[in-house]
Amino acid sequence: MSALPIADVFAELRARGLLADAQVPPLAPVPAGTPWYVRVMAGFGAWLGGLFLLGSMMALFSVVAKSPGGMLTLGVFALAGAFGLYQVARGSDALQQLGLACSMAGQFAFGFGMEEMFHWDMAALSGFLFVLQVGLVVAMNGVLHRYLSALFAAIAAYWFLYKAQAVPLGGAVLAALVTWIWLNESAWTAARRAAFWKPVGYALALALLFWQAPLSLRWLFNWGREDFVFAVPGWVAPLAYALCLAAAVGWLARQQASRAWPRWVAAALLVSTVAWLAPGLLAALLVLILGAAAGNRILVGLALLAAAWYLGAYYYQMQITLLEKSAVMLATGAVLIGLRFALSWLWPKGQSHE
Amino acid sequence: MDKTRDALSRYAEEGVLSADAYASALRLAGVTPDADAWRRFIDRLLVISGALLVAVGVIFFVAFNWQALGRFAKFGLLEAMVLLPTAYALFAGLATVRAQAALLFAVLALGGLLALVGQTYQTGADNYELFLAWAVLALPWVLAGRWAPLWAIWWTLINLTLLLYLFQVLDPLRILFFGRMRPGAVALLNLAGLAAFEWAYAHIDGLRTRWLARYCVLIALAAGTFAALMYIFESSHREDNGAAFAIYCAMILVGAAFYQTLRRDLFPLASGVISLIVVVTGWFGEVFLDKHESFGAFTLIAFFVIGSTIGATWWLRELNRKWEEPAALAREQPA
Repeated sequence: MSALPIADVFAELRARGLLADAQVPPLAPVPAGTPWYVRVMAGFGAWLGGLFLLGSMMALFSVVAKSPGGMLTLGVFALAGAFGLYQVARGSDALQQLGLACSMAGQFAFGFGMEEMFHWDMAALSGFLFVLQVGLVVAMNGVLHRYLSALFAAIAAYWFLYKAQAVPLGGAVLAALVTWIWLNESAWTAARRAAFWKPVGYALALALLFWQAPLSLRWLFNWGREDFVFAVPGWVAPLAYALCLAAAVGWLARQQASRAWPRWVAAALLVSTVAWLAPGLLAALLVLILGAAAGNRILVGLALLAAAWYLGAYYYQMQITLLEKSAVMLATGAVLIGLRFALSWLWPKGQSHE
Repeated sequence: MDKTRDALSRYAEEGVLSADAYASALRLAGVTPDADAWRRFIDRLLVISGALLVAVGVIFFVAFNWQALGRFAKFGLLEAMVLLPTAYALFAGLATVRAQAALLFAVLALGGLLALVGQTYQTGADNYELFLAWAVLALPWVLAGRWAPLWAIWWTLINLTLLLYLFQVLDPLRILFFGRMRPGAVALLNLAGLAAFEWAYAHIDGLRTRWLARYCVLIALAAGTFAALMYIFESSHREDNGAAFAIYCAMILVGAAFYQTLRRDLFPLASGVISLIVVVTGWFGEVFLDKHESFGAFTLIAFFVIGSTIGATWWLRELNRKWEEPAALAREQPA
């Protein structure tokens, strides 16, 4: 079916009994949206400005800033100021940007203050920062702030789990969250929760795609040669990716061709089995499928970039030999091409709902 | 398409569309895929990613240097992996997805073949020569494919060639990094690539995508920003970095004019703003922070960064609003 204009979409929804009235109600004019790269620019500016703002506050309150309690107080005031700015900002780019910079300065001051006061180790500090960022995701009413806080929360969670020897658990939780968020986009949009879930969904998808990155970079740059021993076994992450991929593919296939969905679940599990030793590829495939299902080019682009990055970094990983890596790639590629030739069996023509 | 999505999501948020109606509306409007679109997407995904992974597997296999397989068997295997997909692509018709996947496979396998030559005969060549040979020899496949991902890979090979030359030949001991590493050369190379891809965008159907030009913009700006920061912070090497700094300034000025008027694209403008903020902040830092670490210096820089970001965001949103107007969109359609 070709794309319909909105008036025809409403008429079709009415015909299907999904809408009481086929009349398209007028929408109040709103300014054109902000492209994602302009938001990236604004986020970077706020982060950099926040650093200097903190320096400015520390210079102004130099006596106060010398003590941990003073830093904490500075942080609390800056965060409270940011919260206030976001409450009054509604639609004002300038106030939101100022609020974001203020919040960044507050987060730095609060984090440094807590660390100075309690002399925390990495695990405790990252655990605290995780809780702080989750709180900010809920409290700060700005899309860009939510996105950055969710991303910082994921980074803090990574270091906490790294110290707790449970990094694979984080990958598993992220995969489940990302799958749930992006498969339920229509539900949270209709529930007027898009301003919350959309930035969180993007941040968690990015975190999932690069969850394996620190491990890969470690091999690439010879960081710490000690062997990884995880209390949570490494297979937890690829298992979760495989289950999420199978669930997402099965759910989507059921919508398109109800009788064929078990075959698609089997195909997803087959791909996951052969790509088991390359979990970054499975994560990229999961986000790619979710992005395609949502018609979301940003998610699709991120997944493709992450897959390309992972393939390059995979070469340098030392936990398996090049021969094994070669076998993983060849087997996965062969299975994907094989599935292409089995496409008419996987999805027989005439079995589609539409 | 983005406008349709925005409009439908506003109807959903205003309670006009239920969750089910919204999901159906997105599909009917072509924002999310229907059965036919899914079938096309899966077809492309399976063929292209399958070919890519098999080619990567072959390269890993060559790198493993398996002794049990003789020299001629390895060469035969890799040559077949270049020739067979090429023949298949010619047979299938170069414009098809299967042919493009086959050409991608052949280009990657060609790299494996060249690596095998170096591994077997120990020619003593520098790494950059491998990438240069790979890029030159892959050009016929890339030209034949007329496909943006092939050009992106080829352009990455060209950049790797230059970077490896700069690092491994001009500065093998890494001791003269600031003096002899030439970010200006990287910027110039990518500006040339940018001009070529902008031309291709206007004239070649298969390359009518903004991402190739944006890829060049990102690399050129990253190199240019690095050059400008070196010029600011390395005062003892100003004569080495002066030309690169001039290239950076020209790039920013010409780019700002070009992407506002001749080719309307916010991406290079937003990237240029980030670069300018970094460079000017670096200059403020060099001038003020070294001499007076004070409230005034920090406040000046903080307000410069926050103020310029607010101003740039407003400017870019205004440009976007103007360009989104129907008359402007009609003017901007490629011929």
